[in-house]
Amino acid sequence: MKQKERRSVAKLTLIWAFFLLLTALISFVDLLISRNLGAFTERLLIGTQVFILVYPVMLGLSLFMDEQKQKGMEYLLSLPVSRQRILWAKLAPRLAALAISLLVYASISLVDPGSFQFMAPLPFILVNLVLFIIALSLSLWFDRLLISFLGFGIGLLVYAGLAAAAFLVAFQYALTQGLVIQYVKTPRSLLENLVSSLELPPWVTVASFTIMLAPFAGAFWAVARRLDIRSCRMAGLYLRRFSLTLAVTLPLAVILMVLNIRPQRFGGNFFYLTADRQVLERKGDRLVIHTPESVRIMKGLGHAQTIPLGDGDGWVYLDRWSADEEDIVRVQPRTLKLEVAYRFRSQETLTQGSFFYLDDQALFLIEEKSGRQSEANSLKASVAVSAGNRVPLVRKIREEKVAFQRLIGFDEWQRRRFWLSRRYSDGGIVQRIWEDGTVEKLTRAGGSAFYHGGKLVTFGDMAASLYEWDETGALQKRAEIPGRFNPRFPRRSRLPLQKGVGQFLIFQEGSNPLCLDLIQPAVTPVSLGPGMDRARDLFSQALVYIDDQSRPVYMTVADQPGELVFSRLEDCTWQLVGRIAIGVTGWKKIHDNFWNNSHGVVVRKRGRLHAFLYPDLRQITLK
Amino acid sequence: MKKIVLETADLAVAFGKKQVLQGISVQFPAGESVLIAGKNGTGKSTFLRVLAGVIRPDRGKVVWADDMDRRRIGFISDSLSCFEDMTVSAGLDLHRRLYELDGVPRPLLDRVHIDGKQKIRSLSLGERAIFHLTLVLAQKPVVLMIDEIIHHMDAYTRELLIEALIETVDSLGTTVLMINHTFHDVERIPERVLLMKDGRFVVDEKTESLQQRVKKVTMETDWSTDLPILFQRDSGYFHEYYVYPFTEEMRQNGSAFQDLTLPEILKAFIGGSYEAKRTPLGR
Repeated sequence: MKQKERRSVAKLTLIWAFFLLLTALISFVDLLISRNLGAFTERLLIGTQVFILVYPVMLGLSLFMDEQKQKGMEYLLSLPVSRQRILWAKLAPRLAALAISLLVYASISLVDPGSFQFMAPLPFILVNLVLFIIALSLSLWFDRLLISFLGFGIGLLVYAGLAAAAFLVAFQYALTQGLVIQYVKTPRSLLENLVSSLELPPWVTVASFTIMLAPFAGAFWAVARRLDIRSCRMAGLYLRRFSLTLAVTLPLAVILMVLNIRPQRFGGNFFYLTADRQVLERKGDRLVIHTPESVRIMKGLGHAQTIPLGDGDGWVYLDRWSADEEDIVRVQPRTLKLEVAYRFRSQETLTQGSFFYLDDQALFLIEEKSGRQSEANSLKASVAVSAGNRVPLVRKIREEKVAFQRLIGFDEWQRRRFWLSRRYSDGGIVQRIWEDGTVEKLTRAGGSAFYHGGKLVTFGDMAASLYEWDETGALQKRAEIPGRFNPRFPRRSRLPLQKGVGQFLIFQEGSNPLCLDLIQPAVTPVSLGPGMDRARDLFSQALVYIDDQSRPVYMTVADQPGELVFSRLEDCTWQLVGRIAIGVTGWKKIHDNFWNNSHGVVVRKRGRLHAFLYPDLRQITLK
Repeated sequence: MKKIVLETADLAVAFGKKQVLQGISVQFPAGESVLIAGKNGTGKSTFLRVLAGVIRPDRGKVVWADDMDRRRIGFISDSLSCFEDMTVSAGLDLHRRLYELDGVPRPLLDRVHIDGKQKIRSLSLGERAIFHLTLVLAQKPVVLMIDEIIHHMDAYTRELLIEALIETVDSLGTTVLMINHTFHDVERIPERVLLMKDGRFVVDEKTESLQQRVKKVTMETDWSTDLPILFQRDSGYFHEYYVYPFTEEMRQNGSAFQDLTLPEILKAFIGGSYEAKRTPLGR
């Protein structure tokens, strides 16, 4: 009997291999016609991958197909051989063939993982087993391969529906908890978010997988029942009762969950680490405050995009947190006291990077949008909120046509806040606008400019210029650094450039970042730090932050396993600070599970929060 | 007392909600030939399938003699199940290997001119029956179970089968359990008759005893009587009454009771199953 089964498996494999070669031949003919090797390789790989998935289906469907087709089932069951031996004699060669094919796939994918691997090995093995198990249960009912494939297709659709229902449970849970969904724009991004939503509490994952495993249990039970294996009779009885219960309760549970879903704007979550070492987490319309000792929840705060603006005197300022209005609110994490700091009017928007807190006062820059992208927005007003003064103090500073780039600075000598801007209309005049509205023109710059520690740096096409204020308060040019500088600003950074103590990172698209040393002054290309091994992707993948000492800390991720590598820029070279194992790979997942501000980083790992404080990434365990 | 080679204890099988076998307990001694009869759908084939191991009972058990070698249990199902895409020779060889036989004698196949290169699928039902008989006889069966294959066969092959069965019983002392609807052909074989109704054996008698206990009486008019009527058949001219269980005292009422052949007896039982008259069967 084993010999018969081996022959059957060998015959199937030859048929499968024939069609695989046929695919390769067709691809080769296409190559001869198109003379495009890349397309040939791509099509060959696609064909191979498809047929690799066809193989387990063929193996599974063939399990009892001979007996069904040739009416040999009674003869088989009347043999002086136990059912288990019959089943094993059939399964063993098929499982061996499947294992060999998976080993071949794994070996090829290891050789060239970048180009060949369309699925990671473990999920690929699971997919193969799923297809095999579904197919083998169908083999009991069909005696023709073609009809079996049709039946398999239907079975797969049913299974996909069950899997979708299982994911729906997890997905809906994730929605209510506000755990996922930032870029749900395409089916692919939805799938990616669904997969990432599996970082859920264990009970949700177990419930979801239980639903997905139901077809497996059903398949095994069907085979065992057909073969009349004694040990499965009682299991079958309980399974029937359980299935009935599940069939009644599961749709109700799914309906209840769907009805409980409230529409949410997908603005994304945030995890904000405050100066007091508390972590603010947004979950749907709730603000959850984590400390090592407790978890507090503030409810009913609306469904809005939230951007933490910063904290001071124990308060945290959040952008657009209310349900119906667009407000800036400040929240006291310890008491959960909430105040509206500023309520936006139509066409008003918050200037990015405009939060500044000093001497119990918070300063925001509010813009009024002109509605035309070709025009720069006009700067409308500034807002100051006094601690203890619940009436927001709104003061219109100036109305100007200004460039997008605006940076709030603080003049330590004058002890006044200002923001830097560049006027297009005057050929690129860099000016600083003081808090009282007065405008001080500084210099002309061809590109952008930034301010730090009493120094001003402007960038043009030919050079970067360094200016300083002298004892009389006049701006003096101290140095000119030749070079073509075209700094870009990383999307996730709220600051145009990353500040360091006397040193700054200038990101330039397509090349390594530059270290601008204001003390020297000099511009030095920055060597890649630990873990930074993708220079060409450095810009788009850069996550550069500033710690509480105003030092830039640059993070990247190692390929395997998912790891955050923190490095600090000192003397224009990177010094390794530490590594955090995050358990996920890929920038998208990193972005979804990692948050940073000046006090440290917050990492979400398998549904739990971990906070790491600057400068040494000391870990805080949170509730 | 002959050795019991096979017995069942409270055997029960259900297909869904339908109870097909209801607590059957019966014993089969070595060398006995048993005819299992009953109307369609009473569970005869299911009973044999349970004995052969094709179906597992929901309740009860099948107990074989301690020294029973499973390879010496022969079963020919009414479906004549085999791998039809094989050739006859390949089928014989497969059976030889599966049952670990020294060889499979082919005299029966030769007598009906079945070529080893023929596909089993191409054999007629009668030829296939001979093929299956060849297979099971090669096992030198201690117990042989045959389910309704004779009606597939022509007169010649039918005779071949019966001869082979008789020879097997005589030479090996095989216990034969046979389901059959054409009783005339197998009249010579069974020593015992089991009649099944609604999943139970309602009659379990030796053939000779059965022939003593079932009689027929024919009347020209409708007969009102207290006798246990098993079955009644009416035509335009006369009425036939089959009496069971018959006792000699019944002759005292003057009626002329006739002896019956086994086929007639079985027809009466089966007919009575369809048309219960006066006294229900099994009481």
